[in-house]
Amino acid sequence: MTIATTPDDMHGSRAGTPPAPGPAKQGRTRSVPARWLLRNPGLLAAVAFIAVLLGWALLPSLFTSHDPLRGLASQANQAPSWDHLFGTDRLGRDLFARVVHGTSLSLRSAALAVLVGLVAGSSIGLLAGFTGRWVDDLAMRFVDVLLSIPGLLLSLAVVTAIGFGTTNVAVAVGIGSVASFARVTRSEVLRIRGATYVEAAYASGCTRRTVLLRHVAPNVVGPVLALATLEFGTACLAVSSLSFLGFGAVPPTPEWGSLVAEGRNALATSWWLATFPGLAVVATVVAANRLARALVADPRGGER
Amino acid sequence: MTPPILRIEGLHVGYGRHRLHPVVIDADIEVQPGEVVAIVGESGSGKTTLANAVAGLLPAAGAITSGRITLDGHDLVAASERQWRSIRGRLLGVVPQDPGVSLNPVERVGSQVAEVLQIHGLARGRAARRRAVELLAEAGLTRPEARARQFPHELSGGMRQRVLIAIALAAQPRLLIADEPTSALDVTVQRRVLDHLGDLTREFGTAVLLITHDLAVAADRAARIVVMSQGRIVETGSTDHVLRAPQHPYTRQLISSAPSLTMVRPRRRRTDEASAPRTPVVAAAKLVKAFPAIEEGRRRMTPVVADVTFDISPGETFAIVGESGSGKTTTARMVMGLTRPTGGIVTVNGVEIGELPPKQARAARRGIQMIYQNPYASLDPRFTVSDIIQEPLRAFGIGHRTHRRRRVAELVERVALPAHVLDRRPDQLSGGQRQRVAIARALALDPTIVVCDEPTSALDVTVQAQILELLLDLQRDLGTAYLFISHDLAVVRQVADRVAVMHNGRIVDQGATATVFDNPTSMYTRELLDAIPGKAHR
Repeated sequence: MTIATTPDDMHGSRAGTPPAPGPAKQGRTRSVPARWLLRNPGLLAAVAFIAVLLGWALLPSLFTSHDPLRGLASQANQAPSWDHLFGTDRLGRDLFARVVHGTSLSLRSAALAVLVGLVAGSSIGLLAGFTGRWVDDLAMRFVDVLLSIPGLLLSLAVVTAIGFGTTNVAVAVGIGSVASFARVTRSEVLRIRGATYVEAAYASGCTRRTVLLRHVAPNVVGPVLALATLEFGTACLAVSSLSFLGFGAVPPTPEWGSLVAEGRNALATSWWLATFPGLAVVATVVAANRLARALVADPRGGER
Repeated sequence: MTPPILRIEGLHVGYGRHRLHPVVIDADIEVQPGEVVAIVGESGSGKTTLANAVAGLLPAAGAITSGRITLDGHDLVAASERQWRSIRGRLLGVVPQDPGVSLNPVERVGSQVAEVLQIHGLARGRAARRRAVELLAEAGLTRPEARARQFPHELSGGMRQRVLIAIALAAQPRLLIADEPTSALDVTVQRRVLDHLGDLTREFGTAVLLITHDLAVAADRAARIVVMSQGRIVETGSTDHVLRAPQHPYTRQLISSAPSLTMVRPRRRRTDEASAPRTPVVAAAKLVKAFPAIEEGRRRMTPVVADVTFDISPGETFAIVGESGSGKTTTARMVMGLTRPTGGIVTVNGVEIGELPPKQARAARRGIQMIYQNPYASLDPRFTVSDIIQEPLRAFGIGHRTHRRRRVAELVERVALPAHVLDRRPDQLSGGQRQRVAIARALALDPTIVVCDEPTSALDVTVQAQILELLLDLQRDLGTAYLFISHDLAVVRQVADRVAVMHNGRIVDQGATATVFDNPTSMYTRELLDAIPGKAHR
């Protein structure tokens, strides 16, 4: 076909990609993600931080030689120094070690929470959006009920009902996020269901099940994954909040939320005890948000 | 000779943040006062970018790299934002492309017109409002006092475009840039709007730079034509000269692809087949579709399609022509079984689709397939071409993998696509290639009839010609019947054996293509035929 038939749309030039027929384009596409990352220092920092977090979670002893559970009474309540990056608590335990060793528990809880919300929420959304009619009404009114209760309060109620502990906290936080997953999934399903290619699939003889599994679900994944990343930050915060309130990890076990809670009592004398675990939570939330935003902005929705 | 009102010299425009990609290359255009000059080209030719450069409306990523634009003695390339404010509206008016999104939805149209007068200090307060009503009347709106108090959503597309014209001409500019001013409008509306635009600019002595993809529109309206292709001006000359003696091969291709400019070879009917009566592949009898709507405060059923009866014989092309809202697409959807009729019967291949339980209705789909208007929307972006074409085969469980692969390769060859596109995704294909993929998908099951819903209206004119050619070739080889839905009479005349003209949900004219076009029985058909642009140059 001749070049004249390439309908690169000049009116859509806002995208900044004028027609570039010819082979020049091919070599460039491969290095685009790397260059794109370099051009976004904020995103680069977020990715780097999350890499470090994963390191802390998987191999904590690689990052600190101190014991997170046992301290030396002689080194109690020391301010941050080269020896103790984040300082020590009243039992002489190294706070940096406690933060690093707490990562795995905090992240695991947040991930479990997101998983619960993702699976339950997107199933409800997919079913409601695709089936329509009374199923849709019923499911969405249920979601409305969930939404009418503040998320943290809902998690609090759930965790009181099913008992304390980190896993239960995670499940409770997950239940609190079901509503937003259900809503986003449903609206995406409605958008895709109305797309011409879905109608074309019916017209070429596909059954409803095939359309749902082969066309609707895969096209919904992108935006929902972006939401999951965003929810990860929120879940991290919620898990920490519940641990702070004392529903989560039992005392000697380090967990970011409980570390903040412990440090709060000594805020006047040892500021670092509450500050550094708190900063860890904040940095994780910000990094997750930045990553989620990048996933949404990327036209491919991070699909490949 | 008076000096030109607009002079563009050696203009280069590029896009891109880091490395500029040239979009307009070395353009030279002169427009005399009061002259209408048309810039013609396909999408991607740079014509809109050129117009935006003149209007100072280039997007952030675009920049004029060299050249000069002089409007009535003002240097536009060097103009500051402050100078632009006095140039726009006063010296230069712009009629944008899409009337649907170009008006402020929360402001009454009267005050949007008055705004221009106030900005340029031509009138204020009550006087501005009065003048706005006059301007709306001049732009051809009936009951202008009432219209001025309405919001854009209360007006039709044609009326909105008239409001935009009133705004552009409010301060009586010396030059009007009209970027595809009527491509979103129906053909009869298009004619009325363009007629009026012509009258007004003649009256005011305004020069017009008309940007259009439609050579026929340019031929009707412009004194001179500038043809653009891939950023370059390939031909400039008086309209007659360009049309009668085109110099550049691209211009020649453009002219031969424009259906309304080309003398149409009458479609040959295979008389031997037509004489033998055969069972129709599609028979629609007294089809009715009504949607509930609120009228005068009461819920009632408003018919969109009323009493539509036709049948389609094997291997023929039956076209339904009409403007937007005529019910032609709804009719097609009822034939496809995608919309349930409120009344009447559709029979496809001898089976009444509407009454079947879902399972058998699906089975009936094997015989009837569809090609959609927009190939950018009708293909799943996540599928490869091979998967897309295989889908109908897979849906009906036809053959095993290797057999299906072979069939797909055969289909791809049929629609004249290179074999290497099989593993590509739709976003790597051009519009014409995508539509070929959609055609291959529709043919995968060897249907007896394919419903084509405006299959070429989203495509450039040269691509459109190729796709129509392909559809006709395939019909000759495979004997597939087409139900062809279109708003474009020129296209229909090229492809259809028989035509039905729809207006307000009813068929107002039906018969062999030549009969309907040469001896239309209804007023509406006559009006529709008169509105086809490019008449003067056939």
